[in-house]
Amino acid sequence: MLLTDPVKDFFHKIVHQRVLVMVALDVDALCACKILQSLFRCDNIQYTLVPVSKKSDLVREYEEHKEQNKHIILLNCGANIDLLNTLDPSEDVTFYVIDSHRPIDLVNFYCERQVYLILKHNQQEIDAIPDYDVIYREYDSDEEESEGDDDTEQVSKRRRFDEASLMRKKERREWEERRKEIIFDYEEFSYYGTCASLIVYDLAWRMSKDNNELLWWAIAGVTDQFQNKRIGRDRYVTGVLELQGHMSRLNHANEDEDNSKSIDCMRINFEHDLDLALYRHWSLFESLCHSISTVSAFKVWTNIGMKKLHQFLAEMGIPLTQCKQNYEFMDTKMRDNLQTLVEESALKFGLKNLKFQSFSAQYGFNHKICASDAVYSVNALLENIKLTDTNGMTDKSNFVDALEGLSRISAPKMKEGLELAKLQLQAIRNNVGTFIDVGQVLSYGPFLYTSIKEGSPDYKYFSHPTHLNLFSHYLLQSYVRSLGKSKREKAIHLPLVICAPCDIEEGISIIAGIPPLADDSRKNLFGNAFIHAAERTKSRTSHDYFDSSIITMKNEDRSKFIDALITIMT
Amino acid sequence: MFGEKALELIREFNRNKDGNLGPYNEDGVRQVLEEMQVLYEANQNDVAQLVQDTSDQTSLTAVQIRHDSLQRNKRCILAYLYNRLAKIRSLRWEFGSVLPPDIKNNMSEKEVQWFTRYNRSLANYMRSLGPGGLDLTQDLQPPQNVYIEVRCVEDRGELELNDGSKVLLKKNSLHYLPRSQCEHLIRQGVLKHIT
Repeated sequence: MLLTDPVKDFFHKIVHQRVLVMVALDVDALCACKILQSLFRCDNIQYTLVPVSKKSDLVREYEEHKEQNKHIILLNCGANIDLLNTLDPSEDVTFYVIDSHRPIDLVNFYCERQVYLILKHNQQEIDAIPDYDVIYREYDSDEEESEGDDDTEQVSKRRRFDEASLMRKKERREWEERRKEIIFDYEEFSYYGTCASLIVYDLAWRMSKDNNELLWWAIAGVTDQFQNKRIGRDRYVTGVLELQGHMSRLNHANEDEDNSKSIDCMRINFEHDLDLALYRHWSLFESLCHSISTVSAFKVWTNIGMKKLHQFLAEMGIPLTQCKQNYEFMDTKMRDNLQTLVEESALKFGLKNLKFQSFSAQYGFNHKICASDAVYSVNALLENIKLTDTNGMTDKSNFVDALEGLSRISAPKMKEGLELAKLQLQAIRNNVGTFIDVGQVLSYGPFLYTSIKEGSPDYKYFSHPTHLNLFSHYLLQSYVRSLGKSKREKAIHLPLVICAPCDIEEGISIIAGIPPLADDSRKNLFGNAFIHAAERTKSRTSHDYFDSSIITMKNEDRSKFIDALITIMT
Repeated sequence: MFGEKALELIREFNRNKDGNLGPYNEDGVRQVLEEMQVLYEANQNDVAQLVQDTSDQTSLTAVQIRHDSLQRNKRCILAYLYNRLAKIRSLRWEFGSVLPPDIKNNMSEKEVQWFTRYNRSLANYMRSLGPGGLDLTQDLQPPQNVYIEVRCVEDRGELELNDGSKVLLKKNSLHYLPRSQCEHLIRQGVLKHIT
């Protein structure tokens, strides 16, 4: 059921209770979790935090914790699965779902009591949900019994009865078919709604408990959605505008020179930032080599591409030694003019969308970080491949590390995460180059397909969903840019399916699909497509991730699965 | 050499300084005291002889050396005894007013008496603080919040709180609980306080 007043119907209901919070493993959920934690601390609500990475985790943790908690909050998980069926809760358990995954499962939406959805009231989204009458209908008992009672009737009455019951049966069949069609259309595309951290921040604002820290976490959540290409630019800008309003309200003390806040408070600034990955924590040259827009525009894996990149730097007027120098040690004059220089030269070289609206936070003179860097860092911490930990525990200790990294912008874990992010970006860039050179991106008709071989050195980085998705976005953009004009027109509308080894001992690979470049709404049709393909070929797949466009399956079934996918999508 | 046995006492205490109290080295202390007695008597004789025979000052240095050794031995024994008492005092704050039997066996009689007297003065002081007394030994640091956030370091099963509700302690799970009920688990190292 949709909650109209989250403050009254949700927060006041849990004020004197113990809560279990189940958090999905992505940055947006972690940010929402941090905001919730601070709200709980204000009101002394006792809570337990549990990270869940897949649906099976959700079920398992629920089984273990169900006796102790009657109020369960799900962050970024659970909206698109049928909670009542999967978890089979007892009567007194209530679920509060704050999830950005769409489409929302219809059972969750129409359930009266146990499942409550906390969403931003977006009329478009609510209109898209089919009406109650279309989905549910009372079964008349006459229709069932009509077959049994005819024997005792007279012939004429029997015939009339038969006609009436036939009509009813026909009508019911038509209704069921229409229902199936509507549900199919509704669930065809999977996409993302408002991010969870923005919803929780809104809740905090309504209770007048918001402050700069919470705002920073909300910013990180929105940036995460944009950076991992879960939402298009328009939705991102809407989110940013809303956050900007809050930011100017909470940070206005800076403008008044006499009464400005001390340097030791955290301040958030709005800026038009360059879309270069980690450029403040790396050298300019490295950052240009590893950002998605520059990698695809300059084709840095080729020699010609590198020369073009050097030309670009020369055009900007920054000497090469300065570019390869760490950003912190670059000449101050060049640093100040960097944005204007890059913008001017960008147009000549065909770089679009190099600037985007973002925020940065500052604390004291030492610690300044921009939102996208924070997101890179926390993402890297979350999907950190630790070689010493056993497989099951890695998720949980990564979760704790990532929470620590988010706790303050001056946290040492944040720096650690930045280093990890650099490693991961390097892995992406190396592999993108090799893939396009070797021609590993194949066109299978309705989609492009590529697979990461088991022997490749960086395959471990790509066994986690978020990084696999990031890699596929880099690959898709670079591939499309590397084609000739005519082929590019077609390729821009093709989605990409990528396959990577997940667990070598068990022979399991992870398959992900991303929507085509031209589609700014980021609607992903692979969720359903994967399910149908698996059913057809009876492959041993598990659709365990909360994002339905990512599945794991056994290596042997891969080829027939892809063939079935091709047939389904043509 | 003079003073070696005293140094041995100190070394033995130093070896045990991170763990709980080691056994009271009755023999060692007795030997050092005997050595001091021997030195003192020799010194007595020499000084008497020096005073008598003011021309023969050759044994002056010997007296000096013995005197210094006596002072050294005294210092070492005092250090040994004082540090043991300081350790026993810290054990009171760690374990409470009843010490585990193996530690009690390591204390000498006098030390046991000292411990009881310390207990009594500490109890008197705590009783005098505020109405009904204040148990200072309960918290490791002055508590700042009623509830604290803790992270579970190892699997421990269920923890039952005062109001009857149970918390499942699994490795790397985070909880927000009343301070008084997780203090003893923090002290044992099962939970870790997150600041």
